[in-house]
Parts: sequence; structure tokens; C-alpha cells
Amino acid sequence: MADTAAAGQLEKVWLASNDSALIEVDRDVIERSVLIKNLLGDTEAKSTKETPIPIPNVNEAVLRKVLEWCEWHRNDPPQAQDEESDARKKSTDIDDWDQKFMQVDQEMLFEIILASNYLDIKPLLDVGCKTVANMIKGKSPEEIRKTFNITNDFTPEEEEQIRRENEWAEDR
Amino acid sequence: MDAPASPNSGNPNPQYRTAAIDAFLAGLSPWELIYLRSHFRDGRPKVGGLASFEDLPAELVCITATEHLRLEDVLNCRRVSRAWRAAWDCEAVCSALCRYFFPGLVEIHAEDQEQASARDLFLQEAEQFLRRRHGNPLQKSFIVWDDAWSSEVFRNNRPEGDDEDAPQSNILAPPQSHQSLPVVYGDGKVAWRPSNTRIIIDDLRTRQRQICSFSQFYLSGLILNLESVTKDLLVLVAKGGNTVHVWHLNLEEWRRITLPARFSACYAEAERAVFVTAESHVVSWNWGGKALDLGAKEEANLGVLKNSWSHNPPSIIWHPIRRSTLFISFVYHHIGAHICNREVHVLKYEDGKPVKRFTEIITCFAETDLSLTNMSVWLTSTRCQKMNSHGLYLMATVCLEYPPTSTFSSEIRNCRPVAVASVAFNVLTEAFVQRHYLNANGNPTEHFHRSEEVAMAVLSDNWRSAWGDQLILIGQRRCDPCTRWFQVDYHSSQAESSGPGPDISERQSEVNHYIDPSERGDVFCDSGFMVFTTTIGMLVWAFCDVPELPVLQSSATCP
Repeated sequence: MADTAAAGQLEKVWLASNDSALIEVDRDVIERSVLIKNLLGDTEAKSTKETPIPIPNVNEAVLRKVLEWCEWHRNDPPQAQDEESDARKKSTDIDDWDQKFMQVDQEMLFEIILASNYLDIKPLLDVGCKTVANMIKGKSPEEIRKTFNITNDFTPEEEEQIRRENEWAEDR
Repeated sequence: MDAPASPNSGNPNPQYRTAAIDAFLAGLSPWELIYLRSHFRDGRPKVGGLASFEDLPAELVCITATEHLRLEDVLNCRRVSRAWRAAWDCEAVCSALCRYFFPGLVEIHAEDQEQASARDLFLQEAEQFLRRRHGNPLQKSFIVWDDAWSSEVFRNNRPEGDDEDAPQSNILAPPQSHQSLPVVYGDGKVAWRPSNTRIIIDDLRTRQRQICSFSQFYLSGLILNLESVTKDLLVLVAKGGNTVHVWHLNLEEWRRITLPARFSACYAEAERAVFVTAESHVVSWNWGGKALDLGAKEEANLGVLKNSWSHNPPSIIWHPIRRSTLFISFVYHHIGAHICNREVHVLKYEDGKPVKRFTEIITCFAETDLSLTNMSVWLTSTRCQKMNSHGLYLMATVCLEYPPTSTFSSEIRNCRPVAVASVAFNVLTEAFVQRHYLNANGNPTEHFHRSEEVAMAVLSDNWRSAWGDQLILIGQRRCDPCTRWFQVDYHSSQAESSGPGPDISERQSEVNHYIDPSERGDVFCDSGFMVFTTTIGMLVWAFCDVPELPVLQSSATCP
């Protein structure tokens, strides 16, 4: 394996999305995905155009978007473990490129999050969750509904229970 | 006409379909395109079948919440829609929320007979926490010191006349001296000493009064100081002596404990207590049992050998669940050539034997430009105190003051505490927590960069009280008798808070309204109450359901 890794700068990997699109990608790009990296490390078999790696949970549009992110971040240093990464995660800053990258339709945003969770790309998952958190943070329930295009479907009884749960915020 | 764009028809090959849509769009007139654009802008074609927030698995909801949201945001999310509520109500999510926002909460309820769901635990604790953060207690009351047998607020169950010392009815006149009335608080009980011969114990939860008369001690020349009250015990100590007198509130019996050296502090809970002497003996005792020296004196002396010294006797924490476990904490100073380090050591004792040690260096404001040599060290005791009902205890606090002054300077009047750094220990998760607190109305960050103009002081226990995410300093200097409220600095400890945080300066002025600038009072906090004592009475904020207390009349009761 060591030889292929050394010469593997330009090694190609073929992926098949769940809508049967074939995508060719540099091995070091797709190795941002821990799932694929482990898979490639475990098998001697090569992934070719004829025998692509199936990605059954992700469709082409989402996969291409995820790969765009991996491409940009292909040279990022590996993520620090545990405590240090905790400290890094705590900040809500998202770097400019990532921020622009995440300016997509909400449905796409959630699809990216699910895909990065499935493919095990922690930094992308983190950026996705941060983006969602930023859409929620500091907003009233009504503002959240507006942001996510949701209708309030609580019954009057449920509304009453919610009001009681939130009495802490009311002036007495 | 819209056949090619329909998701359910045509060629299943997505590339073909994309091409078909492009071709269709290319054939549209400018007006048709504008129509289409506005149609989409209004969000009319609903996108179905793709992921939305509700589709995130529990672990992703947890990541979103526990790394980036504040407690208020989480509760707002539960109010959005039924599907969102369901996503946040999931046990896995609630359990993660408990662990993140309230470490120790799950552990403390793990051994409950009827196990509550994580959801109920979380919601209950969140409500309690936010009531306090937003200064919204269930009741606010001001109760004047009235040492009658039964007062208007507190009823004595025993018939009057049992105690020959009791006056008929008497609202105490404020004492002439600056000495405030001795008051202690514990488990919703306020014990206060109107005279040298009796102590009144008022229960805020039941509104009952008990009177403990100890004229026999007074007649024999003993003056007893009020040290501690729990739901079962009242602890009194002969002034400057090594004898402790304990009165059982239910049995109304006395016990006497003689310590190996002069008494220094007492940590009592329910029917048990630990006494610490001025020479760092730690003596554990319980009602009906024997006193046991835990041998912590040797531990305290150990520091001296290592070129460090413990500037105060150790503090004690009871394990909230396991009776056989307790923790002893020491605060050490290392004085090196250029640095002055403070270290907190926590020793875990099981069945009277040390089994584990935890150590943490107090970093204070280390990440700022302040040099630690700038610190003026105040030699005061730093006894630990409970900070929440799930295992967190405050160990040591260091205060940043502006402008700095030496203790002897005449300028001390202008000295203001602007920020507080603290080290706390959670005995349930067995982990240290370091925090920064900011003053209600000050922006200390501007002071952080002017190292030559600030000083630090170690805060003594009787100057501060902390609960939840707030810390209150009281009567820090003779000239500064009011309360100063501090709020955890979420900018440094968590995801950046969005929007303005809760404004605690309003609460600060509300409470200070009741405090006479020439006197010193105390502040006590626990899960049920916040009690501020003044020379004429006490201001009570109740955060638990209790029988109605007299309603606060802002103009009539304030001094």
C-alpha cells in the first residue's frame, strides 16, 4: 500500500452515486472521507470505471458538491484529536470559502450534512451544523419557522403547554 | 408544458433530464422567465422528498445544539412545529443536552427510584436555570427581622411561653454598630441570632419558625457563634475555641464535639458535618456517630515541603449521592522567581481514606497580557461552595480590578472589580471547570490589554456567592457594600452568543436598592432561593414552589 500512496498523488478513484452517475476523482481528494479512505485501505481491489465504489446514500448533485469541498480542502492538515479539535469547534467562525460554499438551498444544505455524516467527513459535517446553528441562533420560534419555511401545526392545547414551559421568560 | 421538469416522468437518467430542462428554459421568452423566477421566489413549487431539519438523525441534532446553540435557542426550537419538537424530544438528544448544558445532572438522577426521562430532567433544569439567568423568580419578598415567638410570616408550632426569653413581638431596630446581624442559610432555612441567648430558625419552604435558646451557655460565659444550618442541624461554635455545639432541629437535643485545635470552618449537610481546624485537621462527624480525623493535616503540610504553601485550611465537599465519599480541596501557591502559580488539589476520600487526587492550575487571565506578578494576593480563606444542584463546587476565584491599588492606598474607593476568573470542580463528572465572569455593566476586555492598570485579588468566600452562570460579589470593600453581579462570559467559554445576553445590570440595581450603603449584608444562593440580608430584613427571591411569602412592596420596604 505504501507504494501506491507515494505514487498516488494522481491516482484516480471512480464513484457511483445512487442515481448511477459515475464520477472520477483524485484519490487524495476522496480520502477526506474517512469511510472511503478506510474502504480503499482495506481492499486491494482498485476502483475503476467498470467497478466504481457505490455511494448508495448520496445522489450526484450532492456528491459533486461534497467533492467540491474535498477538492478545496484536499491539503488541509489532518484534524487534531479530541480536546484541541473541541476548542476549534467551539468557535462559530466559518472561513470565507466555506461560508460561500454553504450558500445553497436549505434542502441541499441538509443533504450535504447527511452525506458528510455518511461519508464521515467531520470538518464538513461541522461546517454544515454550524451553518444550521447560525440559522437558528438568536431567533424566535416564528423567525425560525420563516427561515426554514415551516408552518406552525401545534393544536391550541399544545400551544398552551408550550406557553407554560416557557413561563421563565415572561414578566410576572 | 411542465412535463420535462416533472420529477415523476420522462427518462430516469438525471443527465438527460437536466439537459431537457436547460433546453426548455432556453426556449422561454423573457416574460416567461420573469414569471418563472417570481414563481420560484415565492417558494411556490414545494421541494418534497429532500432532507430537512427533522430528517437529521439524533446525533446530528446533538452536534448542532451542543456545539453551537445556547439554551434559549434549544428551547425556541422546541416551539417551532410538531416535527421539530419531536426531533428535540428524542431521548438521545435530551440526554446529550443534559450532559452538555448540565454536566452531572444525569448522574445525580441515575440512582433515582423512579427514573425520570432525560427530556423531563432537561426541561425542568432548563427552566430553573433560565429563571435565574433572566432574573425571573416565582416570588420576590422582603421580610423584616421580627424576633417575636411567631411573626407575621413565620409561625411557631409550639405554644408561646415555652421559652422565657422570648419577647412578645418585636421588629428589630437596625443595630447601632456597623456589625450586621449574624445570619446563616441552608436548605431553605434562615438561622439568625437576634441576641446572645437565642437563635431563630425560619424555614422559607414551610414558613415555620423554631427558636433555639441557649441561655445556659451564655450564663456560663460562653458566647456561641452561628456557623451553619441544615435541614436537621444547627451548628454553633464557642468564639475562638475548639468546641462545637450542635443542636438537632427535630430532636431539639444538644451534642458537643471537641476538636484537636481551634475551629476554622464547618461543612454541614443534613445530619452530618465536617469540621476543619485552623491547623488543617479535618474531622468528620455525624449525629449519633463518632468524630473521625481524616488525617488531612499531613496533606496540608506536604505543600510546604514542596516550596509551596496552602494559604488556607482545606475545604470539604460532600458527595451528593454516596454517603461514604467526600472530597477535600486545597489551594496551593507556588512562589517561583518570576511566577506565582495557584493550584487546586482535590482529594477524593472513600470510607475515610484518600483514593484519588485531581489537580488543576488556575490560569486566571493567562491568555491576556497580564503578568501574574501583578497580582495582589489577599490572604483570605477560600472555602468551596455549591454552584448548582448537580455536583459543581466553586473552589477559588480571582478578581480583576480596575484601577489597581494596594491595600493601603487611599484610592481604594475607586477600585472596581471588572471580571472574575474561577475554578470549579464537578464531583459527579470528576472534572474541573474554569470560567470567566463579566460584570453587569462593564466591558472588561478593554482592561485586558492594559496590564499595567489592573490588579488581581483572590476573593474570600464571604464576599461572593455563585449559582448557575452568575456570580455575585457583596460588600467587597467597606466603601462598596452593594452587590455586584457577574455573568459567565459566553464569548470565551462557548459558541459566541447571539444578540445581547440577559441584562443583569437591572437585577443588580434592583437588589442594591434594598441594601443600605453603610452596612454589610450577606448573599446566599441555592436551587430554591436567593437571600440577600440587610440590617432590617432579608430580600428573598424564590425559585421553587413555596407557600406565598409577603408580596414585595417596593416603596414601603426599602430603607
